[in-house]
Amino acid sequence: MQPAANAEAPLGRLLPVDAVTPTHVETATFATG
Amino acid sequence: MGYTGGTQLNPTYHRLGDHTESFQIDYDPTRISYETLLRYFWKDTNPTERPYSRQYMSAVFYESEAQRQLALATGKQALGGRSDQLLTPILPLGTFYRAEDYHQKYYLRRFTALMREFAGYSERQFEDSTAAMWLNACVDGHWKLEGLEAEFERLGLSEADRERMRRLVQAALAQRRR
Repeated sequence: MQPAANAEAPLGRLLPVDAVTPTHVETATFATG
Repeated sequence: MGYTGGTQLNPTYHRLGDHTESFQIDYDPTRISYETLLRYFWKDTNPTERPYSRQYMSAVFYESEAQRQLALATGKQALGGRSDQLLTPILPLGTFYRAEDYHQKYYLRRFTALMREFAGYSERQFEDSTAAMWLNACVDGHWKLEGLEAEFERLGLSEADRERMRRLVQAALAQRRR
């Protein structure tokens, strides 16, 4: 049987983007009114 | 998004005390410098304007002496040779309290179809998500779709997924224009 086409996005499709982690991260903090 | 600069413990949007609404950026210094971030900040900030209110003032919160000096130097440059005083507060960063979930990626949250892409993310993962950051900027008109696609390609999103994201963002932008 063919799997049903999944119209809903499966979990974590954007994970490849978020899996890219820089080796070094710094933080900057601002307020813009 | 969050609250900082004040003394009230565990502030919330409705119990902000003397804190200021602010935002914290995680950045990779090999791709963008703190000085460049400051220059973007000063583009949007009038250095001669007295803060309007503690809640909504513009400010730089520095984490080191090096950051403080760069904030001052770029602020003075933003005065453009005028003899006016630099009135934008440049303050030491104390505790940064994360704002409530509904304040995070505020624009993106309006678009259900795009938000579905983050099913399976915890609130904290969503808040820290690079993908969510780009999309939030894009659906509010601060970043072009072409730029978003280039970033997603660079970060390894498949062509099929990029095509789907293009359609979803175009639909969101059309909805925004109505």
